[in-house]
Amino acid sequence: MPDRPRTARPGSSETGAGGAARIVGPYPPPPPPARTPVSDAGILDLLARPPAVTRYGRSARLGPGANRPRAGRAWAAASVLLAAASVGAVVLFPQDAGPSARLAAPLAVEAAPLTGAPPLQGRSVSPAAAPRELPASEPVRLQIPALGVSSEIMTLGLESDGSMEVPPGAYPVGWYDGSPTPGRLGPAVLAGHVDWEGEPGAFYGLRELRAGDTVVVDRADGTVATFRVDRVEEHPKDEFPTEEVYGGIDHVGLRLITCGGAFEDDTGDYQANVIAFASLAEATD
Amino acid sequence: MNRITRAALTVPIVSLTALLAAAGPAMAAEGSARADLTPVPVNPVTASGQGTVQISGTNLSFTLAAQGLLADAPHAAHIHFGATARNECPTASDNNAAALAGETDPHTHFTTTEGAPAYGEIVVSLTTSGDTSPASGLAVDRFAVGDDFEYSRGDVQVSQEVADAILSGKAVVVIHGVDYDGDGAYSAGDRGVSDLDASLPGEATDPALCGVLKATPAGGVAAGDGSSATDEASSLPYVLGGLALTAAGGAAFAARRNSRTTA
Repeated sequence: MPDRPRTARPGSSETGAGGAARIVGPYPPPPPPARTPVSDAGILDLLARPPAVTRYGRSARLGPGANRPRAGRAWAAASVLLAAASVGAVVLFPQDAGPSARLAAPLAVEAAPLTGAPPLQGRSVSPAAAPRELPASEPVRLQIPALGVSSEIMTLGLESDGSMEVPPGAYPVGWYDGSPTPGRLGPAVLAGHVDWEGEPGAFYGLRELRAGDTVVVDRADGTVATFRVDRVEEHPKDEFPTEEVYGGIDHVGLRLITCGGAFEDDTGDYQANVIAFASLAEATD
Repeated sequence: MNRITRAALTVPIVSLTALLAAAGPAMAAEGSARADLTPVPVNPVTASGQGTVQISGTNLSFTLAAQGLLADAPHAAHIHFGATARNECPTASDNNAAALAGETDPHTHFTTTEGAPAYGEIVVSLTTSGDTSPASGLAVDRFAVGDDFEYSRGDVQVSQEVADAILSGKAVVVIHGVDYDGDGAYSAGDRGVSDLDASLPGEATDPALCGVLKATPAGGVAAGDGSSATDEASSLPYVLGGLALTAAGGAAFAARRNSRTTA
């Protein structure tokens, strides 16, 4: 892991917020905050927070009593409970912290969906009148306000084995040049790392996107395509939903792909992919 | 009669051989590809379209759709490929200044012939019925009609070379039919007769939409190196951030660990 400067942050309760800043990033991303020892009091502080600690500025944006999706609420409640148990596991045995975080995941492989409720159907959050298709133009920048992510976009092709290329680092994200450009009819595909060489990747927080969140793509022709997330799914890589992701659709769509599930040392790869499905909500000239 | 019998025997034997050859090492010739169809340069087209192709050995099936082409007119459509072509859609620089036969104003018309260095020859005619060989390239009575169409066909036989070209991103889908003068029909007008078939107006055979077939990626995406999974500092917010499944696993691990320690 590259040696990088670490800024000490007072107070263990800052750890969660630090986690937020870690995935927020201009390109290149700033160095992550210090690794602070976590005390029991710190854990309680952390648990008192909403679970989506990486959703930068979300509470301010929504405000109290804001219209939050039901699935999100259920998910949040389940998450607090389960996260409590897990944090206990990690913190009570700090010497095992790394390994246990890894060991923990395979046990979860059999368990089903990422969210506590069935995924929201895409159409239900799409506006009734779908915006028009844009002319083809390559994407140049991606922004996900709910995650504080902003990244340039590179072009990805295929590896010799037929799999998709991935970006060479934590940033930027890449657009698969075999998919339509974002704004065209069909499924535009963007891929980004969840982590790379110790850095949180551009799509580190992808699994925390919720239906209704916006994804903004700036295009080379100066137009801006704004998508709304329909759903987020996690699938084992050996059961990758190829048709669902790359197959033909009757609307202007976007898919954001990163890694998820357990990291497997023997393959050097994560066991699953997290995929966010989105539909065009607005296009500006 | 004898010749017919021999042909009748030879064809199945040849195709069986081809089939066996394809089934052996050609395991890779299995997959799908998609083309985003955009207007060719020069020509006045504001349409768009999509072509998807599934390949299984040398068996091809396809779906083709387009919106915004000339209404009530047939739109010839093909898969093009050329071993010496650039295997891409043409650019404005392919529009040569020299007039082709029947082309009265070469600068404002981009013809199918002019695009050949980019996309090569017709290898599959995407007809709605009947023959799909290059021979049906201008069978205007067997192509989709109108300004908004979508159709599919299966069991189209192609050569191994064409199947490989499609899955390696070298084949190009082209849909034809350009109403240069805006009179709502294919007419000779300024464009003149087709450079491909003098019995057709050039408007009927000039290219309108083009897109390179790009293979669907195989399997999942390797979008991480696990470096955050080894790091306590990053695994904590990760777990807190809603990794409910990992959390459940963590609890189970803790429970196991606990019972072992106290035993």
